[in-house]
Amino acid sequence: MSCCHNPIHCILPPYILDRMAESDDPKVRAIAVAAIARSASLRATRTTLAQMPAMAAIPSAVGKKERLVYDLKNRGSSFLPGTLVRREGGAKSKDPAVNEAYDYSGLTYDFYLKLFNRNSLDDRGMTLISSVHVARKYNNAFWNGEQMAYGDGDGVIFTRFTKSIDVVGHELTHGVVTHTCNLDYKNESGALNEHFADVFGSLIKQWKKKQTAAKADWLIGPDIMAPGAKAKALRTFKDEPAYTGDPYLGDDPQPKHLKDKYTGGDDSGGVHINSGIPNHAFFLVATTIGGNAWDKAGRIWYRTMLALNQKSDFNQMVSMSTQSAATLFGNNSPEHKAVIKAWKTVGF
Amino acid sequence: MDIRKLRFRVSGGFAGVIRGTEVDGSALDAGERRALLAHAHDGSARDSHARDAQVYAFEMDTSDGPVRIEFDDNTLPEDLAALVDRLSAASGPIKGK
Repeated sequence: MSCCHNPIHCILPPYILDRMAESDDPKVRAIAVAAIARSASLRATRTTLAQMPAMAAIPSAVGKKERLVYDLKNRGSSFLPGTLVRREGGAKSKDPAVNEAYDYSGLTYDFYLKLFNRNSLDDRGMTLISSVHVARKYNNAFWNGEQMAYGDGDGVIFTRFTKSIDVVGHELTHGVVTHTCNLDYKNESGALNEHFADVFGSLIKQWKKKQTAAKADWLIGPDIMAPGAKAKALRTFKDEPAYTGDPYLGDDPQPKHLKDKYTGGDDSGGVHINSGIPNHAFFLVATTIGGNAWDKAGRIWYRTMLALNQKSDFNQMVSMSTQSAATLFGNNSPEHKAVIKAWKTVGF
Repeated sequence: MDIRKLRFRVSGGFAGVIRGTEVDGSALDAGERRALLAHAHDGSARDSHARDAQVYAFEMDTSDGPVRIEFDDNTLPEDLAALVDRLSAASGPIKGK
């Protein structure tokens, strides 16, 4: 069935429509103008879809938690998602990677729903799709705009990436960012994208373990380090390097103060490097406020994430998080003061 | 076009580690040279939707001048995959530039 009631809207090329729009006949002009408007709208929709994969998200049939886990069987990422091996409510697998991807994506869903009343990554019940066993000895996990992909690690430096709650929470939070402020993945906006992924990845782990800010380890990736790595984790929110002199990783490059910001072009302008600056600010906020980090600091950061935009930089992050703290807890409240002080400590 | 020197860097990924290595053009076999030259005009071919994908950069000194091409996990051409594996294994941690 066609949805096009007037064939002229569907088949005429743009140059003919332009000429018709200049016709002396008002009826022809009206038809042409309507057709041009419709084409422009379709073009805008296509452009938006290209820029926002969020809009192409696969909604769950039931509009609530729905997880699908696929096995890529060590093939490359061009073969994503692979073979479906576990779906929502399905029996436990014998494969730990499958169960970890299932359990931790469910935990992430619960975290966002219970604390922020957010229904999945897009707040519309988007299905959480994970693929495990991506490529061979693949030392990585990534979000491809629609789903998560997890490597097994080489067994020397890294073990399987599903093993860590904060890794799974990090990747899924990239999905939340995509569906909210959609921060550009380069330079300062990219570092903020990584920062939110680290913050909520860490908070999901703390929430699961019922750890206060004072008790939390504030490390990213400690569970995926294999015996061959000297490093205890990949990143730390604290004012200390996560590792030094590691034969594979080298020295932790993350700065914790604005004066040390990386300005080179590697890593898309240092998105995994400069995230260390806002990460440390968040740690200071959470530990200054005290208690469970997800209760207050997490709420301030969640509200900030929703308020930023694609081009937001560090300065906008500072002003928006400060404003969020004042809105949520009051001007000059201990929470508001903690945010101001933390940003000052890291150079703002 | 002849490749005189190849500098390879891998950055990004969940770990955000920067690693790299440098080889003479003579250390590339015919298939590797052919694959690199076939993609010499690809420029920066990155998947703008991917987050935490590893980025593979090839900087070549060639008889026609410097050439830089860049891919990520989702855009890496199949004919460069074996070379990336070989160079990744030979790479060590380096400072970002």
